[in-house]
Amino acid sequence: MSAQGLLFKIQENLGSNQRLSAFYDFTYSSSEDNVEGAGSSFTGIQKNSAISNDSSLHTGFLLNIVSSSESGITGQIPTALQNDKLDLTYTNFQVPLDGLNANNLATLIDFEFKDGDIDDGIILGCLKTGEETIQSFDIENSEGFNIGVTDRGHLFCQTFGPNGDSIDVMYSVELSKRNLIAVSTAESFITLSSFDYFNNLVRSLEIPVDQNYISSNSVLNFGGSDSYFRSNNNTDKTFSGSLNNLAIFSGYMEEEFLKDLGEGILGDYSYTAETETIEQRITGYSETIVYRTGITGYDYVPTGTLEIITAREEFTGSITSASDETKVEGERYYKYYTLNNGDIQTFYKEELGKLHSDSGYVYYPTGEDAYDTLGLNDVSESISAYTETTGIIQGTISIDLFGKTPLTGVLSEVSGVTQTPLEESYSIYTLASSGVSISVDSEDFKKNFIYYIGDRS
Amino acid sequence: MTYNYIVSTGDSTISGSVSSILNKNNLSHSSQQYLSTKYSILDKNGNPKVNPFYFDESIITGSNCSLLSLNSQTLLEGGFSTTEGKNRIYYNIEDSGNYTIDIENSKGNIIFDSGLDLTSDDVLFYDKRINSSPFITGKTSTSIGSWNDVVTNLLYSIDAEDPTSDTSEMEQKYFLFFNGQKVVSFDYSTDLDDVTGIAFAIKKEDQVYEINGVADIYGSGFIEHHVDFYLNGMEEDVANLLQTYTGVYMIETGVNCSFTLVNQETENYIL
Repeated sequence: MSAQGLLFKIQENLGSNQRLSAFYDFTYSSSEDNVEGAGSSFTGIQKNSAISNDSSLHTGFLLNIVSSSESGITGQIPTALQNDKLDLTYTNFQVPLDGLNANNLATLIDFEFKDGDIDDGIILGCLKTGEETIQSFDIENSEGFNIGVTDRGHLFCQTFGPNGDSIDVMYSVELSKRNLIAVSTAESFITLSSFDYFNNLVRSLEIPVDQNYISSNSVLNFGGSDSYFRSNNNTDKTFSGSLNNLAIFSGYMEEEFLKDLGEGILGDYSYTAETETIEQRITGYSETIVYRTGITGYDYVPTGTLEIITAREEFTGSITSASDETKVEGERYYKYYTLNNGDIQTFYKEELGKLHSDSGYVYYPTGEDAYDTLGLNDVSESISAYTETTGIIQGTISIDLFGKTPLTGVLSEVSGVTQTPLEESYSIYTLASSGVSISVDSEDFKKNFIYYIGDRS
Repeated sequence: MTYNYIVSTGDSTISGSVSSILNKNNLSHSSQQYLSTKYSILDKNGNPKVNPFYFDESIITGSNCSLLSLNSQTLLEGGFSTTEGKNRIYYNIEDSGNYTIDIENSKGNIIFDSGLDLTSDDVLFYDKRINSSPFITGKTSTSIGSWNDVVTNLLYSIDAEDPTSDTSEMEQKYFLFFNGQKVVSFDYSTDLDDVTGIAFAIKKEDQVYEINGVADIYGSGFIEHHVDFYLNGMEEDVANLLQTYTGVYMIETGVNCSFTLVNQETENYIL
């Protein structure tokens, strides 16, 4: 996240990443990305970040991770880059300047000490001193400078000038376990700064230099130097700590500005997208005339019928077939006849004595007399029987009955005007926002030792 | 000697620490700013008193959010009332206070009690603290157990507003001062029985811890410049402390370690 935070700060303050020459967050990705070499010479590397102006430049070298074979170093690189930091007790780090000059650049260095005692050492070392013979005169020369830390835990800057070696110690600043410092160089001075983000403080030491002794186009070393009182070899590890982040900018930068950029390195970038909220607003009113309502007429709807008798009562009846009955001769039974009189239908019946149909006789008179006078045979025969239905019928007419129901509706009389609001949708936009919050674990940036320097007696 | 450190631990993130940070050990400035003379306080002779010390109004923003130490002695802030004269309005400091703050009418000026004589040699530091009224009790008796009564009275006063069960809990939550000296232990004692004066307790801020009894402390992280140090109850200038990282070597201090190596050259002249 520090890369995104730094990029945000650079875009915010500079408008482009043109001056960001290199950035390393020391994240181990894969052995392929962290190895360079061919044949019998392989070196561990840390590639420049994609957020820099030209990431093909300033590939950093892990100076102490070298081997004649690729497999000889691939196992060492994750060890050197454990926990997203470069362990300078394991390997020094070298950045080729690739066109930059040590007397005109700015670096932000996020470093921390290892637990335990702090020994003096080089954080950034590019000082080289030597002699050359010009017209038979031996002349001392130099390039670059050293930035380091003393046993006491103070930053120092070592330079070489017309008067020889000089060391300026920033004794006003007590370092924490983890620190963010800046080194900014110009033609005539070096500004060494330490940033206290808790108290929003920048403390700086400005060291006057002679550009003829500082100018260097070669490399920046981290962890060692070619000219230091303990070592003259940049692969000698002198610093008891590690690099968390490293940024290199072209040209001199003011310390306050570098502090702001440093917030990006330590912080987390956040972005909140633009949001749109749709609301309604009234743009006017439409008017509608309202007419009174009332009874506009009546409707007659059927409510029932009334039956009226229009003629005298008449008997009516009908017969329907029933089960046949068996009658013996001489037994009485009824013979039925239907009578149709227009709408009035009825029946009548005649009581007879049964004679078998095969008798071939017809007996007169019938009834009791016949029984008395005739000898009847004991034979039976089936006759048709009927079920009688009788009733009384009268002539009627049916009259429909109606009820009166009022009809309501709109009258022509105006009772008022109704206003209906007219609305339209509009959008409220919450602008997109972004920023950096220094959410890095603060514990290592704090102090953890108070030493009383007054009289203890 | 009694060493007493109060350190701010801050938050687990830098942003979080910055948002809750307390401004401590601010040296008051004496540069005279424009100040309406309409509001003043009379000195013990009845003349308008000169109060030469000022604070930063962006730090101290009102009453009951400051803690002053004048020449290492911690002062009690009081409220105030005013008496209107013909051309001036006169302060009267209340609640047994040594000073008062009136942001509205006296801007950044610290209004001291009439009885306090001040000179330009005096050193005054001020801390910002969370806004809360002090709990105050007077001690007039010198009988045995009278200090215990003071502590008990304070406990009752505090408990009425901020439920606090005993002196141990009170010690966790409050700082105690007696006659300008910080009292480290709230335990009942007879050591202070024969002294009269004013005792007051103020609430501790969040994210602070207190360490007693050792001259040097190390281990837990704290935020540089946000340390109060009391030596025998008197607040010390933090310039007497090194606030650093445990890994450094302690060497003799006061020696300038900047130096320049000069190449000596000899030029020979032919006479």
